Amino acid sequence: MTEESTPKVTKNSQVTIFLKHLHIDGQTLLLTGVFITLTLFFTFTVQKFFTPRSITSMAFQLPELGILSLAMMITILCGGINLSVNATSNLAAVVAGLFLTRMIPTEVDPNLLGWYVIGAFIIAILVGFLCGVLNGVMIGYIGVPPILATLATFTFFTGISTGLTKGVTVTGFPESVSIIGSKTIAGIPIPFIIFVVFTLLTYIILNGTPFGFKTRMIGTNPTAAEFSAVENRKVLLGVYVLSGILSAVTGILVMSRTMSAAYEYGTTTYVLLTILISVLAGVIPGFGKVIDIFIAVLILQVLSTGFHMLLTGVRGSSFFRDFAWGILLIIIFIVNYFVRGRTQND
Amino acid sequence: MSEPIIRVENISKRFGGVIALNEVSLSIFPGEICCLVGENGSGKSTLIKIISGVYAPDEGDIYLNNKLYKKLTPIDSIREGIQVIYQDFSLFPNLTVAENIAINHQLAHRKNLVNWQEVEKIAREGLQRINIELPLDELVENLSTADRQLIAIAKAILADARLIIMDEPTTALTQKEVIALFKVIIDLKERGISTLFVSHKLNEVREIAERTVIIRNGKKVLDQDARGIDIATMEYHMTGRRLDSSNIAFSPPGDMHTPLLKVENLSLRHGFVDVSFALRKNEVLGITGLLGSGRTELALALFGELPADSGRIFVQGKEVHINSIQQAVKNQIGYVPDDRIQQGLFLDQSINDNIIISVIDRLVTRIGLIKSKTKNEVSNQWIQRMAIKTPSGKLPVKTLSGGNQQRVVLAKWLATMPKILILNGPTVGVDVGSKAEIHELIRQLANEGIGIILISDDIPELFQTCHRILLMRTGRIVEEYQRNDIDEQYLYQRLIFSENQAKAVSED
Repeated sequence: MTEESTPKVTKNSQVTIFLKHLHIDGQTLLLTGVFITLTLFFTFTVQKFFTPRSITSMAFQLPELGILSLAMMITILCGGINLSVNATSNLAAVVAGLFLTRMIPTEVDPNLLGWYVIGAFIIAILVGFLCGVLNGVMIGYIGVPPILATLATFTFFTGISTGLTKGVTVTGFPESVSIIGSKTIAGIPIPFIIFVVFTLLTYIILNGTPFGFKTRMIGTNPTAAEFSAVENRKVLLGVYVLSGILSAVTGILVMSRTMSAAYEYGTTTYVLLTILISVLAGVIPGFGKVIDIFIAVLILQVLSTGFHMLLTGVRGSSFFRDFAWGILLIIIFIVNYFVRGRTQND
Repeated sequence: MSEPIIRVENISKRFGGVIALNEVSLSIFPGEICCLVGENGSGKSTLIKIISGVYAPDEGDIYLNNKLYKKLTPIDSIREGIQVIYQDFSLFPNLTVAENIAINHQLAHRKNLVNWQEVEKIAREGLQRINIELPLDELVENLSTADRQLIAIAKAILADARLIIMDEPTTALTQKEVIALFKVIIDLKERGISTLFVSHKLNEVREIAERTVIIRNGKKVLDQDARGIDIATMEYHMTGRRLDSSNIAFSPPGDMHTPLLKVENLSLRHGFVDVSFALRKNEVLGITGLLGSGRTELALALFGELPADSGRIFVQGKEVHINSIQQAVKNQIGYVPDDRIQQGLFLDQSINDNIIISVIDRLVTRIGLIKSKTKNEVSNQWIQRMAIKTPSGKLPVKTLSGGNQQRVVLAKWLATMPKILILNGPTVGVDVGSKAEIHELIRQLANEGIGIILISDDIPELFQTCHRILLMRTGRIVEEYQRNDIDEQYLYQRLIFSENQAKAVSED
């Protein structure tokens, strides 16, 4: 049936191509429009919204969710998903936190303390790497469906974190740990700089390397990728390892900002939020832009902070934030439907 | 002559600015076997959909059993005895044969409870009417394509069909199943039931048609008694140009002493046994055989997807071990799969990306970044060389026609500079015009020094392209022919013979 195309379909596909191109840039345009509208809205409705103080505070908060969303996005791009991003992030923070609180000798030379902190961060990254290897081997080599594999590792990693900490939040880090999470460079919060750096890195990896190219092709059609001599298993392993490392970076930001590490940090919402951001950014297997993830993260933060400030003192204001996120998602779907709705039915 | 079952007059149909059908008239009489022929996109599907009431024509009249329908609905069409069997047969794979055949009857009589005896009775009656026996309790998903088709036909007959429209019915059938289907069609004819057989397989059309109707670009260009129309005439009317197949320049193949590829005693469990052959430089080697003869497995073994269990493979005299696709590619072997959509293409991705995926690792700078300029140059160069018709390489590959899509798959492998190219059914689902062009391309590639293994059961295709032809039967290479020693008719018989013999052997 697919071969048999009447002139109608041919004609339509011309339109499709046009809209598709419009859409890809259109998604970025749409998100930018939403971002500006919301910023303007809160600027005029909330007195203190558009002030250096509140902007700085947002720039401190959003990188955690941002980098975690990148970790989610790349797995969706290759046709999978990673439900264990937040569990990986927590495990990395917990292991690094335990290293800092238990492994540093009491009579340590203060000059060496910085090296211990750096060592802890490297350990966190290593944990993220290993978590990624476990996911990647299960998905790429054993062939477990990504949603099941990462649901299993989500529980597994959370279990390890809980066991290691006995459910207690790890605190008492050296002061220098907080530098990343609390200092600014030229007025820009360090977490935000790190977010921008990792966004750029992800962009380069996805768009400028054969690995990123293959990731998108596998997401589009894994069988054809295999028949094109792509080593699917290696690429998938790479994707989940990268996802694990990005998750661990988030863990470092969280422990640095809160000066603590907990098995349960963000468990209830973070994973769903990263999926929500990916959906908002229009990421589907084979297609998706890093810049859209970046803007989608900004939008969510503006909504969150804006409503928080708008409704200060109102009971149930935090529920209203979730409500607003939901509404936003629905609006984006509807707009997308009208922009490209018909073309998807082809 | 009796009244026609269907008579359409001066039907036109536009989609946006495109004219799909332009003043087409067609009548079909009781008991007639009429073939509707046209290239992809010629408008034949639109015509079927108008006859079955799916589309309304912009202009023109439809008479069913001499009754004018101003606004024909699918229900009207079915009530007048017109049944369409689409390529997917519209069956329920999770229900049994009996349930599938009887379901329309049960629905029509608004039965809320199932009477199993009645279901079985109806199903048996339906199968009897086409002289077919099938296990009534078998689930449809366990049946072959051919059997599913027979069920769809039985269903149509039970609905008191007077005209059965079959849309590309032989696409997934083996030669023998095609013959069985033709028998059913002739049976139907004897009962006064007409068939509109829609196809672009011209040898089949020639065999079954009483009347041949050809449409091209939405216009009827031929409508006459099928006797005396040969394939060349049909091709001419389908494409609007003469396809010259008689004077093909074959390049002489290289010498036999240093073959490009030599295979010795290659075996794969459940695939093929003890296969040995050699492929020379500049040679196109045909491998033919019916579905299940092991021809695809052999291709997949040489390409590393299904590595062989035993035997030896030599590339240019050097023994190689091909256990993965990567190793095959390293040994400069390329493979164009038979399932283009699933295995060959990334439909939603751009033409450029579809081409360069095979060489992306070679297009990087020292620090591992893709050279985007070189990348575009490479893909553009192949789009030009393969004459892929598209306004831009950035468009998704799904916007291309079947023939152009196949060129993209070919370009993907040619970009790797292969020495050996394995083509599995390279023109399946490709229209006649592109088919001839792809055949020309294959000869040209051989001329440039590539050794080509062409796997196909399209006999004219083998004669168009191959120097030598190997015949496979139940996993073995049983015969080898030089192209010039045999003719198409002979090879066709050997192919069918092999199936009958294989069956006889298995029944022993």
